[in-house]
Amino acid sequence: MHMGDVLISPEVGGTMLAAAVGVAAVSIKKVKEMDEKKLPLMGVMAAFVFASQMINFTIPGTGSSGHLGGGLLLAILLGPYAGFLSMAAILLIQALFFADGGYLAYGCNLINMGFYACFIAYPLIYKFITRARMSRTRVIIGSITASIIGLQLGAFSVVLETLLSGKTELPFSQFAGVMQGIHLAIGLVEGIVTAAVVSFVLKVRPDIVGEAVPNGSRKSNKTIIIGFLAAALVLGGIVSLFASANPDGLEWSVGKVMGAELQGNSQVHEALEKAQEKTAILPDYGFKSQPGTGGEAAGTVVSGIVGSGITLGVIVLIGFVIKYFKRRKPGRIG
Amino acid sequence: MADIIGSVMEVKHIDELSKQKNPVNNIHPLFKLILTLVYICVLASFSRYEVIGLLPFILYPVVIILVCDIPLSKIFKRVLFIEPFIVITGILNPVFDKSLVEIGGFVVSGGWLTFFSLVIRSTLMVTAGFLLIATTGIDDIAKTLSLLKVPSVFVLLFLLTYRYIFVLMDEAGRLLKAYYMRAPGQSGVRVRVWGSMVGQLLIRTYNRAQTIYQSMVLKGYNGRYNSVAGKRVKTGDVAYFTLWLAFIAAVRIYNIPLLISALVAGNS
Repeated sequence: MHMGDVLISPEVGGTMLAAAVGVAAVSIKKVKEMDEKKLPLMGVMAAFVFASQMINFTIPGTGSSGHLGGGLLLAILLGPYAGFLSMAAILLIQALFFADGGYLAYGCNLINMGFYACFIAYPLIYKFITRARMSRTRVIIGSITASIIGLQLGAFSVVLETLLSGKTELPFSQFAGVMQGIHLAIGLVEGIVTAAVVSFVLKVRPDIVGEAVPNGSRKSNKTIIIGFLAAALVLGGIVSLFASANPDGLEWSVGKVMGAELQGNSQVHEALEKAQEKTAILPDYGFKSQPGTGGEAAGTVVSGIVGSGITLGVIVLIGFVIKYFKRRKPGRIG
Repeated sequence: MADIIGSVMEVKHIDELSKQKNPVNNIHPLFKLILTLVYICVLASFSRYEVIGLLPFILYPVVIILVCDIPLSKIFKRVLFIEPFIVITGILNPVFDKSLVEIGGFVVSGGWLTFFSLVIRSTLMVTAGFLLIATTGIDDIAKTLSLLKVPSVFVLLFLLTYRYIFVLMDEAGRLLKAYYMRAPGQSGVRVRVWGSMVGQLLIRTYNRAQTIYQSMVLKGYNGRYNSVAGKRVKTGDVAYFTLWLAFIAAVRIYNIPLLISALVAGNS
């Protein structure tokens, strides 16, 4: 479910990042109020999720195998706030070191995989089901339902974020259908693995998962729900803002903003602009070449290819120059 | 399994690269981080039909790879790992976008343009992210995060997680080896032991966390992230940053390959 940078537009990425940072800020505040003992536990548990991902589970009845995502398990073991932060650390390391999920898409990924698991699936579903009694059956039902719902929400977010970014042509209904379907299966496996792990730990070391047992947790549950509703409202507001705007407005481009500021009166500018206007094959989204006016348009495209060749040639030349200078001063590097 | 261990070891190797001495590694990490983010955002801001305008952006990774002697094979591995996902999401574009464009007598669908645009952009973005790590390293990134006022709880969590990934990978690796030696010819872990296997690892991890906490307290841990003073900002850093920023701005505003074409056509 990791989204890369290439399918995300700066506005969608930025908005989701702002939302994720907001949730993280609240979580950090909550974690600070808790025991400082939790920090090493959070770090090691996050690393545990990484390590457990190398264990491939054979899915009975199919030839395929799957592995743990970990969002729900972290929430069950650490609570929603610490779980969300651990997920944030995991995703940051995955983005930085494993190229799993992009930099610009970091906020999207954190919301899709951390927020829904920790602040919706865990408190509203898992906890609700296991509230009365931490029995094996309840743990299993709770984990499976929670992880399916968490992943469905996450998958739907991926679809929305991709479509709002407008970087690919995938039509909404097909894309959503495929994503929701695949993540139904993934959610089921994730839920079963989570349930198996939690019920094993419940049997062997009940103190580790026992924290979330009965009574007394009513109040904290309420604050979580209020927090979630507030976040949902903010998110909903932002999304509707995007949805209501002219879809073309989404194609916000740095070039236009900067271009407007930099429009000088000098001859050079004018000449360059004219040249650009004349030669731009793709001014904004449309194509200059209309069917029928082929000749002239094709000419500009061909000359575009010439320019591309020269640009690449210059880059290669610069590369050779760097290599040449480095060879002349071998002592400087290494 | 071997794949994952391999890629984790690779990560360690990348971190090692950042300890070499070269001009780019010496640049203040904050500038490199901002530059990488700007580079990725600017690439993302292009319209989805843009192909030619993206080409000048190749200069940035080329220069850094050559200056820092970064092995190309590592970058290829990384890009190849990501590319299948991009191809899957983009390969349907030619099917859905049937608008036609003529290129030098050939008719190409707009969908193919968006597909190539996606592939070029994703390659450049992934490479830029890789180069940040290969020239900066985890410690400097943590320092930069705290420079950017990221709360120390998160910076510590980030560092701890990174540190223990390798330790727990070893642990999980031993667990798996023991399992597979007793279950030859099996492709994955059977459903019956899902719970006990991961649960075992979890309990070991939990116990380890407690030992770690105790030793951290003994060494004076008080919940804060303390680090030696980071690098100072030098004029060279500012110059490096400004030059690249100017380059990125220039190639974003002007479509350089088309300008060159216009000049060539004008002179001939």
